[in-house]
Amino acid sequence: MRDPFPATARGQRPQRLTTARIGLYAFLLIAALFFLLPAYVMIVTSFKSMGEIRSAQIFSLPQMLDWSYWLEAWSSACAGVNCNGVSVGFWNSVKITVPATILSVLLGAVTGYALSFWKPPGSKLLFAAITIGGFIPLQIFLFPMVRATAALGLYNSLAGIVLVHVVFGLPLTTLLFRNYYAAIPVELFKAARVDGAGFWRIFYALMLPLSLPMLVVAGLMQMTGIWNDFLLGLVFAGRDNLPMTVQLNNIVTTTTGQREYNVHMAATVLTALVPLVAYFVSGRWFVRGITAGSVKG
Amino acid sequence: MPVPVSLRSVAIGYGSTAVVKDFDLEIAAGEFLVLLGPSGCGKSTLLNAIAGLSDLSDGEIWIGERNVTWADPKDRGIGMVFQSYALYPNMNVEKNLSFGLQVAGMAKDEIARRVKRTAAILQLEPYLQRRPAALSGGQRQRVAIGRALVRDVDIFLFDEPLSNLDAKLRTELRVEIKKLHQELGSTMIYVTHDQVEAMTLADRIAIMRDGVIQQLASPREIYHRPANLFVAGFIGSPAMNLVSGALVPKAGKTFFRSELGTFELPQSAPQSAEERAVIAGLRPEQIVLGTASGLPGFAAKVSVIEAMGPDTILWCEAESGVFSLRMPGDFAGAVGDSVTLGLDLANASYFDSASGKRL
Repeated sequence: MRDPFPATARGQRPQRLTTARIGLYAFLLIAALFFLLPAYVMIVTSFKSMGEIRSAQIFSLPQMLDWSYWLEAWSSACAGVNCNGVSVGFWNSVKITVPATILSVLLGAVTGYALSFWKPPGSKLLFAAITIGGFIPLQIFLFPMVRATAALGLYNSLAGIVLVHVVFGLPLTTLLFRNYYAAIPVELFKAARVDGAGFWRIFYALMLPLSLPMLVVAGLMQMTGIWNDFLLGLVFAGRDNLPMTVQLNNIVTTTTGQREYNVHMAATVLTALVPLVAYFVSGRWFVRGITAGSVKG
Repeated sequence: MPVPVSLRSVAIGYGSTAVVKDFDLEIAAGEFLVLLGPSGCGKSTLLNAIAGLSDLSDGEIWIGERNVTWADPKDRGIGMVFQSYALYPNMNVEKNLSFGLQVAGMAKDEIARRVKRTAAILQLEPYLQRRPAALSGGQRQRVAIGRALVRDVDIFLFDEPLSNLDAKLRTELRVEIKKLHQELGSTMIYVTHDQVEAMTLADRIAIMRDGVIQQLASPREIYHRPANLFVAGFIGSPAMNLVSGALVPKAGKTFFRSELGTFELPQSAPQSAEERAVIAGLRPEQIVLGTASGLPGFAAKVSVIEAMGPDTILWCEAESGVFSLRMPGDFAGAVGDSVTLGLDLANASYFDSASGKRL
């Protein structure tokens, strides 16, 4: 047993590496490897020639940094008869993701704000309905949604796919913002009303600036969710607006000739790059946003 | 010009959950009225209703000559100061002050003039460019007061504005609010559960319980002539000493009979032609030490001595209970001393045992 009251104790307590600590670090290391290894294999493979790949040394480094497969993946890989790479899909995804993210986040902020502070009649019921709606698998809504967008004349169009993403994103963003605003003291809202500000004035002059961390979190979640979406893009976007994920799939599953693993890996990394960069850039904000409200400010 | 406020048969909340029912209150122009009561008594609810932040289920609210029952907060000519300050955290002090004026569409030079004047009154000039997070509690509350001041409101509403401050700042700001009222002469309605704030600030105090006013009177009247046992117990620290007993008529005089003994009441105390059960209430300063005063007395033993600085609170145990006395700050005595306590029955309050109402 260690003496809990050593006579020489003075100043800072010495740090000791216990077995529990070592075990913890070992677990973290293994977990990190588990996730990093596939990424490593993909990046390494994307630089290898087909000859190297066939030599079946999956973990070895490429003999030289050959960017040609990346170039091919971007601009000339074939999906069926179209040989334009994933670049067309990239720009389609941008055109879908940017408006759908901005709209779903801003609309969620407005509805969350209205539900938190103005509490219109039936707002509790409405909030319950929205929450439940957020938990129902969206596949259930697919067919009704196809009919609805068709009736609106928006099926197979850019506007249609953006609308679908906004609608399916709203439960989550409303929930996030409602709970974020619930942590803001209601006196702040009352003070602004006494000062004469109305619904929109309080929203854009007071609540929106206060919700910057949540805007980042909701924006990031929506952006990655919409960028990574496959099903909705496939069903609602139409042939001219297919997002990057769908085109990636078409390239990888094209079965004519030999499978170009290097090109496929490069195309996949390219597709995953956007959400990855977004997380790296906004990581600090993201953590701040998801812990916001947990500590009283 | 100061403006009066009038609440007429006001009800808030519905049916069995009504917080306030059939509530009437007339507040004179330029008056400082304090709504005082324990939490949940409906005082904040009333203030929110006066501000227009919550709806009435019945009744009317008049501010000056206008029926504002259905008016928006901004049209009522009111400013409000909250316990949590409620400063806009994303704006600096200057923006906090000018926000309401900007919303109202006031000209820029007029806004600048008013902000400058308000900052001067509240000594906020050095902090105009700071965010609320960089201010101390006292400074924050001054900004909150300034937000009402800058709009030239007729009525100031305060919702426990000093409760978040430490004792020293609370005293300082209390004096500042009183001074402000003297300078502006505006009507002010102030909600608090702190009796010291109520006593020091108010022209009149409305003591509330369960949505009903128990007594509406000057601080002096409330302290010396509480209308019922609730008011008597709520105001004063330490609380009033209560002695159960009876008024007994005998030979044209009235006696107070209790476990402490039977004492003849002077003519200034309530008289009764028949025997009735009463509770006598004596402030700690209405009980004296020793028999020199010539007051009727009884024996007790000192159990606790609290030195408060300017005065000393003495807790004495008698056979029938514990009594508190207010003694001078230089009181010399020790726990365990045997003493004789004299009762100032002429100045005491008497309440009916059954109803608790003052006789």
